Amino acid sequence: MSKPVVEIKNLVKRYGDQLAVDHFSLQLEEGEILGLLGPNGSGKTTTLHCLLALLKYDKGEIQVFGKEMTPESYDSKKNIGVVMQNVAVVDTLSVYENVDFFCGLYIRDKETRKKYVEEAIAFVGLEEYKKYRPKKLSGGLLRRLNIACGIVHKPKLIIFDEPTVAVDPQSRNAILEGIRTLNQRGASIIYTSHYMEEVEELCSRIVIMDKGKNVVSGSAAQLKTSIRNSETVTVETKKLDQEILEEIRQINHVYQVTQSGDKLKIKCDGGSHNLVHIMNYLIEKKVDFGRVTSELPTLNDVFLEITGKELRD
Amino acid sequence: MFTHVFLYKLKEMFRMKWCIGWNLVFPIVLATAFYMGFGNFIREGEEKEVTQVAVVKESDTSFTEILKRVDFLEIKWTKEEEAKRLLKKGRVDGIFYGPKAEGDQPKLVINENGVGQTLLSQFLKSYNLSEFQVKTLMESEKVEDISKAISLVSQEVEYGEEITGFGSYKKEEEISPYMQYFFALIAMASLFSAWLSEFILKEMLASQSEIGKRYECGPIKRSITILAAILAGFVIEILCNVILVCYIQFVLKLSFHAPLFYVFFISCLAGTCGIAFGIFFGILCAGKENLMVTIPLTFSMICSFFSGLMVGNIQQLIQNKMPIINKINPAAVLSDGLYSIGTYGLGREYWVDVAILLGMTFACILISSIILRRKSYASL
Repeated sequence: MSKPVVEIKNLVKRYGDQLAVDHFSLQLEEGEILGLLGPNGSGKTTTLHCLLALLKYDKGEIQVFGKEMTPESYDSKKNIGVVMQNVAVVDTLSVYENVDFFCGLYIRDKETRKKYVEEAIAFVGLEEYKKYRPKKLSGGLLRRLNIACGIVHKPKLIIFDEPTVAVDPQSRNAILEGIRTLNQRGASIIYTSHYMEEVEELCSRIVIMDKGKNVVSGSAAQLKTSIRNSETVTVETKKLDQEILEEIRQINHVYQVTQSGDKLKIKCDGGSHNLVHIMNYLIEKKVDFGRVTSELPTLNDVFLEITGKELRD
Repeated sequence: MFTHVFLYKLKEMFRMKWCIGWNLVFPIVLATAFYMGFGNFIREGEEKEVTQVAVVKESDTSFTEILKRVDFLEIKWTKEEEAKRLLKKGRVDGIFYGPKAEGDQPKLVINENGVGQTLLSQFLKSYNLSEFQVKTLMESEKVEDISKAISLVSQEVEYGEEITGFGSYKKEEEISPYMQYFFALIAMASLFSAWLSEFILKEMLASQSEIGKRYECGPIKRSITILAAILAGFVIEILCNVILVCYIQFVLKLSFHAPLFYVFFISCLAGTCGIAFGIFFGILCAGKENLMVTIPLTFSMICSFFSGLMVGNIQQLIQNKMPIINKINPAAVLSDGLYSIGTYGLGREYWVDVAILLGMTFACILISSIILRRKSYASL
């Protein structure tokens, strides 16, 4: 069995008295897209900085491509691409020059470099903007340039740290599609985000972080089935009596009923036809209601159930 | 990799408007403003000025003999009261009290500091030295005619000796005190390079910027990328200094009274010193955006002020009160270096200034590299 591309064991990182990463472990297998999901300040970026040997850590072990990762691991670094949270390009260089400059840190041969640069620019769809300086690019195009600079040397491991923050939906889709393509070409990917939809859509495995800890991990489907909530029914209605709310709570598989404003939220744990049972009850009790929706659990529900708070908090 | 980073950094810096603006355009504009302010004084001074001195002669001695021979002093042979009156009114730069007898030391009295006064003081030092040589010569080689002995020695101590270097230069005129402003200006421009190196550091270190993280995630040693970028900054600084010096010398036509190679050399050395200070400050102020702008600016402006950028004779005032300040102020050291090579020629003073600048550069780089040697950061 081949060694994992990345292996983090019991990582501990403190900033003074504050514990940023708390005995965190993670494995990235070859060809995998691993989503690192967590609210702001949960320790995602700190973990990545430790992984890249930018930050010292207090305890733990980090291996990349089967070797210990240190600031001098130049052989490993040659095969790592990083797309940082904030755009990291040189303002005074054009799009082409930026990509060529960062490619030159990895690739010595001029011909190969030229080929790689052209490919990276085409990959992110910036062919028309080769001569543009970053200041003339829109936010979305700038993000694409940021990605091109990070992946131009065709790395085997690519780390994306929230690459879609403040990006328009069109560019976001293009970025996500690009990441999928990179993965299909053989790159193993770590993707951090606090956008659960993105992670759910893109990643084969998800690690949810909170307060520096690995809260839960698995595929999106595994995570969703691991929690009690299997369906949330939302009903638009006027404020109901406590008695009625209690009776709804008695319906089979309903385990939580909350009302806020004109929204009645009913959470169910497993079972089938929950929506039909709830509607029948409301009709029988002659409760006036408007729109009714039924949702399957999201990663936010997983996070909420495990940590007691919203992922978006 | 080194060349790749160096060439791209060079390209990057050439395109940075603030870099060229502060390091080249601003000093040139300021030089032009200085020139418009007192360029005429400098040129007139160079054309006409002869140092005037009153001499109170007690008797005919070798000192008075030598005074009669020098052509760069306009001598007024007077009585003491008249000499004091002339000095008070500023008609002479100083009073020489001739020795009463051969072997006594002549004395010099001056009221203020300036080029003329420095010249008189230097002349007196040269005389004291040559007097000793004359005596030795008369005794050892049995030269009986004192005039002959003086002639022999004065060839060696002739004021305005020929300097040889990359091209030779015969000193013919005195340097104007107003040139002090231009020296301080070159010093200021040189120290502005501190900004350049601070910028370099900010861009290259993961602790200071996102681009820095990109560099440090790459497979190149931090020291190589930083060195390549600093070399690029150094090239820019040299170019800016050379252009500024050439602008003053050839466009404004104000002479440094020295071979340009030595002017370039010490100016570029001061630029290197500025770069070294910038790196040092960059490390000290890591992550503090405001300090990273204000510290190099304050540093270069204070140093330039105390080297005479705004008050021409401040350096001499400091020299009288606290000379150590002039020795630890890189702008004053450069200014002094330019002044000494222009006034006394290539000599010990110039090389001492060169050594001080080298020492400061070395110290800053040493401390900075010790701090920079750490492999990874405690926080980003």
